[in-house]
Amino acid sequence: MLSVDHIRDCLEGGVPSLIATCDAEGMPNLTYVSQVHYVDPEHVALSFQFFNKTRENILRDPRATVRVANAETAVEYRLDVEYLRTEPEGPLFERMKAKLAGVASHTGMAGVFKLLGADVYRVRNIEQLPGPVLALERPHPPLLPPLRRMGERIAACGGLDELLDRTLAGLEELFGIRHSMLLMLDEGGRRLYTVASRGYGASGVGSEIALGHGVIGVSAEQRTPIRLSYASMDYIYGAAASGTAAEIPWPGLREPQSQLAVPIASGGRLQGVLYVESLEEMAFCYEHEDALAALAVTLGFAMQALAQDGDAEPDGPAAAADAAPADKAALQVRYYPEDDSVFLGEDYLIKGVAGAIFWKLLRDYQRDGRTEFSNRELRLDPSIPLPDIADNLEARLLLLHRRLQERSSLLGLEKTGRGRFRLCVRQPLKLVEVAGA
Amino acid sequence: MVPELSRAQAAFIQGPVSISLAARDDARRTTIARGLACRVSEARDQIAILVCASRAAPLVAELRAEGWVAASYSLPATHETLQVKGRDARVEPALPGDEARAAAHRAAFATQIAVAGFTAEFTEALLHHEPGQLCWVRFTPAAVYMQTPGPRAGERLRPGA
Repeated sequence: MLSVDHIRDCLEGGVPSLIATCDAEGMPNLTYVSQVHYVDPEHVALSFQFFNKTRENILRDPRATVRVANAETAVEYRLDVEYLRTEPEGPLFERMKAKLAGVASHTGMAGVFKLLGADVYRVRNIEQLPGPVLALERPHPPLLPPLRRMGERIAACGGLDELLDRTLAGLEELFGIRHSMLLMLDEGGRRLYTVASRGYGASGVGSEIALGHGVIGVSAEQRTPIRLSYASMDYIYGAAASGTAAEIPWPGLREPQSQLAVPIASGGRLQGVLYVESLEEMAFCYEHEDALAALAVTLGFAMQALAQDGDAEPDGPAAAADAAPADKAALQVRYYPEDDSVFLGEDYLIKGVAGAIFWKLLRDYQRDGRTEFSNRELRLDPSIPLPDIADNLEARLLLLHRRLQERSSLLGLEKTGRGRFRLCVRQPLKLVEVAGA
Repeated sequence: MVPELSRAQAAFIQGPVSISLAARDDARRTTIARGLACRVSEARDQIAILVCASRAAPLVAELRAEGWVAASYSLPATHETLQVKGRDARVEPALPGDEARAAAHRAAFATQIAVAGFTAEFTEALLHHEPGQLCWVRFTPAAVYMQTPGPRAGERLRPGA
């Protein structure tokens, strides 16, 4: 028997779907459905946008018939369905809302199409309708082989830095996805920050997205993949409008036509989001969603394993520091304790936990001349506000390392071993702590 | 008596629209089929929709048993959609020239959806009919409903409105 898995290509839109119901009198009713959405092999969800005859009918008699068509092969299916419930919020609702927003703007119906709920139906039977079936003009490339190679690459990675870069490189080389980024969840759990990106003019490492904002924020908040096949104003991140100095511009495409965000979780805990986008419409299909979701699982466990690995080596004796050349003018480094933001001269560098870490390193350097540090001592340091579990320290250090690489030739971090690194200072420093306003 | 269908509605449903029909069986299970062309009588009191009897076999069987029918017409370019219902649908044989009528509708509809990237081959497949299988579903329009997406969707349109 056919399951919904077999007909997912028909659920991408393209050819409008219809639902037929029957009223109390016995009169059939036929209505177009903006969206028939894949839920699982036995369920679909239909977009509920208007109180209409269909709604009246299914609330009385839940049986209905849905017709869907494949926009490439013209094959049509009849689905015998039974209405179960309406979900007015939650992951399924958000997935459909995003998809509908894309479809609405694509078809000139933005403002008309508004999702009131996700109507979940059990699929009793699926039948292919008689009629010609066209051959695919360009068969879709299989995604399991690249996924397998990606898994092999991930398994070979020895550090978080390498893992993130190789993953994004793999997306381009193996899947042909040119624009991608990885964002990690902030300790407070309300924001995501970019730790790696590929395919943009500026890396945007350190830029932030609030939970619930756009494709990435909704994906994180609902812990579900969010995919748009057409551009929608509702889901585009503003043109890097940077209100304050302490913001790093969003690196993403200004007008992505397709977007897909997949949450990364492990051990039941959200770690971050893998995001890809494209200038082409319909660049990502259900199969891409599958592949990236599977990749995100691998990535989540790999990140967790590498983070634990980061503390493996015991602390060695503190090495003597190479003194910074004393003949140069001092670089002023300002620190604002209220949000742990750090400025190099007039330039914003970083804030949050990474800012607090950096300030601790600089103070130790200034006071004791220390340049060698370990992850373990940072974790134990009371001045760094890390939660006990799942502290994302590795990701924070990577973020700091990358921001320094991009923003300063005078300061840097260097890995010296497992869970150990060196602070590199190439100019005298003047540290200034700025009390809250 | 004012016909249910207005002149504009009659013109609309005979235009390059997507046509679908629904019927139901004794157990009130519904079925859907594609219409291949539509004609409205001079007095606008009869609608006839061309279908392929083999592709629309369940619908044709159900309408032969009982004539309650819903027909939906939608213009892809504007989303303008009307639904017409009838209680006296009957199935009638095709006439000479109906092949050409189906072909003309197919060509007009193909032009409509070409802007969305659909090829003529796609429309040919979607609105294909088996040789010798054309037949008419004819009924008296009993009610017309507005179904264009928006706040008025589902509203019954009064005769002559």
